[in-house]
Amino acid sequence: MDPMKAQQLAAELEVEMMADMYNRMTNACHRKCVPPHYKEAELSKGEAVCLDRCVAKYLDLHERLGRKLTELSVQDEEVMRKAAAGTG
Amino acid sequence: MDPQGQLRNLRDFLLVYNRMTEICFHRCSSNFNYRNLTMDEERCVDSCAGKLIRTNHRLMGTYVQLMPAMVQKRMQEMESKAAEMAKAEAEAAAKAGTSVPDNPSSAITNASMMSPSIQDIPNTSSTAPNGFQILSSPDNTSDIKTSSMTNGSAFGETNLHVITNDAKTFTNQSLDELITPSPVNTSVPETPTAGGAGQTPS
Repeated sequence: MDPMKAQQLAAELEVEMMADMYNRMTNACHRKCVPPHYKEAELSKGEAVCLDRCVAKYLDLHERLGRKLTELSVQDEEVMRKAAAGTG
Repeated sequence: MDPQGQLRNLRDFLLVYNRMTEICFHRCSSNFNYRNLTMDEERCVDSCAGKLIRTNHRLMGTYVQLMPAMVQKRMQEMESKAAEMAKAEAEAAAKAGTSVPDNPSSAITNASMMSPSIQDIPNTSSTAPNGFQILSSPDNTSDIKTSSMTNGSAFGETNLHVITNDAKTFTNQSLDELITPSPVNTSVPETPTAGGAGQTPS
């Protein structure tokens, strides 16, 4: 597979995963902020504010988890390297 | 690793990442009076992430240890079933006597299947074995060979030991004395053919 094709596939995958994350965020914030008594179609002031804050929190949490995952994977790699060096 | 494999790994990682975000958000975020994460929420998120990752590692290790034994058990069951079917077919063929099929060896030869044994599986692995399938036992014995090979190659590099079935295979020659040949007129009378399609008769 040529590098251009691989890069394109990776970009498509990233877009797909962003869409997946957006869907999950929508579901989560709707569940947290919009009570299931749909008296009117318009969002109330409280619901709108809650949704704004929910999105901000979700994205903050997403970024934080990304850093944590990277950190843990680096630690794992070091442990694996040490184990390989010990057996070798 | 090939680019396809890398992309698959990346996809799996990103899906785990998204799912982790969702789970930790559900469990840790309850106070929407502020846009930023509170101290309690930050602590909760860190603990949640660590716990999920360690859970994943633990589950993966156990899965990799236990799965080969289950696959091998499934293989043995399929093999014994195939042997029983082969024996039953052989008995049926012997009982039938005159009504023997044209090529009776094929029925039993198909049943002699390969039984790969999975060995040398590492105890723990940080990456999931991709594309692993547990196939249900197929209806006819000719399918067993292919499905067992698929199962055998589930964990990538595995040693396949081919064990053929010891059921006796009959050949057409050994069955010649069972079948009494009836005189059949095989000669075809030659008929003069007229002009083919699209030809005008002269």
